[in-house]
Amino acid sequence: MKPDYRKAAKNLRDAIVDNSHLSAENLRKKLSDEGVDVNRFLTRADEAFRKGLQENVKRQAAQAKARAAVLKGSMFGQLVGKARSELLALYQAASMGQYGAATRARCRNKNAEEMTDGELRSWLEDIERLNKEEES
Amino acid sequence: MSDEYVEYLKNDEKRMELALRLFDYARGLLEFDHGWSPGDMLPGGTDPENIVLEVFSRVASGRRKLNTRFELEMQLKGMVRSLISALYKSANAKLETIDLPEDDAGFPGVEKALGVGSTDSPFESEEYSKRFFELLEAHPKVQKDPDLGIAIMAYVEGASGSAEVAKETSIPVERIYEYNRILKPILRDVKSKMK
Repeated sequence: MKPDYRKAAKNLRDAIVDNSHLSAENLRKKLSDEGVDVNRFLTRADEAFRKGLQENVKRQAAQAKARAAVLKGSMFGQLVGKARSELLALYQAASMGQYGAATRARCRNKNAEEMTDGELRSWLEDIERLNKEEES
Repeated sequence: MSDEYVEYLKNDEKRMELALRLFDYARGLLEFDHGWSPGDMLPGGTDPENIVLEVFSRVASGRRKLNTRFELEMQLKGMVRSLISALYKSANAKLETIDLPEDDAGFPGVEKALGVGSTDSPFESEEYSKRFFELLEAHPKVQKDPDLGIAIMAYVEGASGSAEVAKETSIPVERIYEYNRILKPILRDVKSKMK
C-alpha cells in the first residue's frame, strides 16, 4: 500500500507534541531546560485567568442590568395614545403596589382624577424614568 | 455546562498543570508546523506564552464556552491550534481580536471545535511531506540509530501515537518518547534543508 505521507507527518507531529505522559514536574523541568522562566509564565497565566473571571462577573452584571432596564422600561408599556381610562387604570394598579413598593410610594398624595391626560401620562413617564435611574 | 470546567480551572494546582501542558504543546506545534525557535516572535508581535494566556482569558471570561461532553485539555489544545493557525493565516492578525468560528455557540463542526481541522502547515502538502520523510530517513543521526529509523518507518506506515509505534516496532514506549525528544533538533535540521 502506498504510504500516506501527509498522515504520517500528522502522526509524527502529534506524537512529538504529545505531553500526556509527562507529569507537571517533568513539564516544568522540560520548559526550564528550554530556557523558559516558568514561574513568570505561571504568574501571567494566573493573572489572565483571574482577569477573565472578573470580566465574566462584570459582563453578567451588565447583562442583568440591561435585562432589568428592559423590564423597567416596559413597566407601563407604550403610554402615548392610551385613553384616559387606561391611564387611570395604570395609576390604580401602581397605587395598589402592582409595580412594586417604590412605585406605590410615588403614588401617595397624588390625585390622578384631578390631572389632565397629559399630566397623568407625563407623571407615569416620570415614575418609569425614576425607576430606571434607581436601577442604574 | 462549561462552567464546570471553569470551576475546575479555579483550582490552582490543576490550572498550573494545564497551563504548562498548553504552553509546551503550543511551542511544539509552532516548532513543527511553522519552524519557530525559542526567542522568535510570532505574527502580530506576540509569543507562545500569550497564546496560552489568551486561551485562559477567553475561557474564564465566558467568551469561549466549553462542552463537557469533551475532555477539557483536548478542547483547550484545540483552541491553541486554532489561534496559531489564525495567526499565520493573516499578517494583520492580533491574538486578542481573532474571531474563531468555534467561539460561535452555533458552530456545528465538532472536529473543528476540537481543533482537529487544518493547521495551515506545509505538511498539508503530500509532496512536501514525502520529501520531508526522505530527508529525515537519510539524516546522519537517523542512519546511525537503526531503531530510530524503524520508529520513523512505523509512522510512515500509518502508526499513530507513541504507544502504537512501540507496539508495531517492539521498541519500549519509553524509548519512543525519548526518540520523540531526540527528533526535535533533527527535524529542525531537515526542515532547514527543505527551504
